[in-house]
Amino acid sequence: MKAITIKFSLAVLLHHCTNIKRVIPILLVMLLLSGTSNLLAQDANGLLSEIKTKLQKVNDYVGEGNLVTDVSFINIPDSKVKVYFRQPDQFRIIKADGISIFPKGGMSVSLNTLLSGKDFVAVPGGYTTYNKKKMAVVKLLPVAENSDVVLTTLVVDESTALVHKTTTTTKDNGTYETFLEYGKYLSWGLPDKVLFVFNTNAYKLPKAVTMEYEGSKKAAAKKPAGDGKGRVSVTYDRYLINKGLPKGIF
Amino acid sequence: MLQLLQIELFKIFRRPRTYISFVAIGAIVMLILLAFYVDGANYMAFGLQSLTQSFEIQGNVLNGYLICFIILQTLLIHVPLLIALVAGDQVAGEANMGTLRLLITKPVSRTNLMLAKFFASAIYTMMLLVWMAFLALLLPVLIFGTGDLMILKSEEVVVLSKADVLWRYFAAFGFAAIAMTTVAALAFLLSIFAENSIGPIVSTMSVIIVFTILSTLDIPIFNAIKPFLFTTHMIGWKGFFDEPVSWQQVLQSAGILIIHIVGLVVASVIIFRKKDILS
Repeated sequence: MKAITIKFSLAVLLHHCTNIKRVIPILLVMLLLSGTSNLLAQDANGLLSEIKTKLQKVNDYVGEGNLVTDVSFINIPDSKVKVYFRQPDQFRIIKADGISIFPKGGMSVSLNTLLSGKDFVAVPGGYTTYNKKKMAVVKLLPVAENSDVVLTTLVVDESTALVHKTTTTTKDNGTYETFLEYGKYLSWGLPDKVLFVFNTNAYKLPKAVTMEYEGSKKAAAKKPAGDGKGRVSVTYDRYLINKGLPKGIF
Repeated sequence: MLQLLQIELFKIFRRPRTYISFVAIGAIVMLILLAFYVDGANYMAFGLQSLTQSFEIQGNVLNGYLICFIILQTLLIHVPLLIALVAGDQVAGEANMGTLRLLITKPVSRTNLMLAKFFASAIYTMMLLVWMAFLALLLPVLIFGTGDLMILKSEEVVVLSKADVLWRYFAAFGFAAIAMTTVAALAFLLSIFAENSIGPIVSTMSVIIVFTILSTLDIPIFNAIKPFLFTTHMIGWKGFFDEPVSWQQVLQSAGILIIHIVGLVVASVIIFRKKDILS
């Protein structure tokens, strides 16, 4: 579309302007303007490259933290968990002797899993104010045609190349957001806290076929309905980075 | 009174059919354990299908605590029959054998006789539940180990921490003892009207089946009568597996069942005291 516009503009200019000297500066301005978007794309790619470089410093990690699940229809206590990651995208949360439940597509609880080992086309999305700070918006379009992820939007602090928020739209698992807070492990690009937010409206539990206690139903009916969003957060106490992982974790 | 109770207990445990219940519970628990040991993973995959479509579940879901819950859920529907077998036989069995008339010629009040017979039935019920608790809780824990307990309900999925489960089972078995004693009291009352133990056993089970169907059907016309049916409250043991426990509801259900027990036993004593014993 842009190319057609340029050709049309050139034809109009050549038709109306007889003096070639008057045309050259206008042509130069137009060329400069048409090249601006390419320069911005390079910025977005550059920023993505910086983020990836930072993340690739971490080959593997074991994170110890506290898992909090806040989903209206899942009643599960907060628990201590160990989070295992290995490049490029192996990720697992384990609660010792316990059960943990995550929404499918919850791989973006880890930013490394979302970005590592995958090819994206980065598109600049301008700037936004996040946590009272000006941050760049980068939209990522996956190159692979069969990718479940359709679009990922990153809110990035350009000065540190740290991603503070991601919004991911998938084919099968809806849209979810991740909020990342940094602290002690900022230099590794690893967050101290990750909050994963997803829509729960689509999830329906089947009616149980066994007899259910009326008292339990009454107690459940008294609970507030919620805002249609589920939240899973992991607050990390510490990471063991690049120390290797035990076999058979994944 | 104590001597009467000992005599009644002796009568109960002298009969071979009393032990049918213990053998039946043992066999059912063993079969369930074998099934889970051989094919538990597939059963769990099928049972959790609806949840795993949207969520990833990590950890050992199939553990001893979950199997105990499944066994209780399965058995506590059928145990009333095993209790009715003995409680329904208490008076009707004596009438059938022709020993009831002889029994009341003894220098014992009819009230004491009835209370002794009822307490003997209640003790049998407790022993059956202790046996069930031993098999349903201890064996699965020994075989499958312990872990967090995950329960699927219509309204929510509840996951209870490993350390927070055992007391709930003790409380649930305590509640089940009250619920099953209600069944014993009902069978005991019906036993007075019959001269053959089959009648009260079948009648007790019929009442329980009809009431359970009414309690289970989610139809507005039945919802109004649900709170008045004792079968609605018999599954109150499940309330201990809510988080937090809905104490008010559970205690209310326990209270209603205790009122039923007292009412049924008092009615049994009054009716028996006035009954003309002809057999």
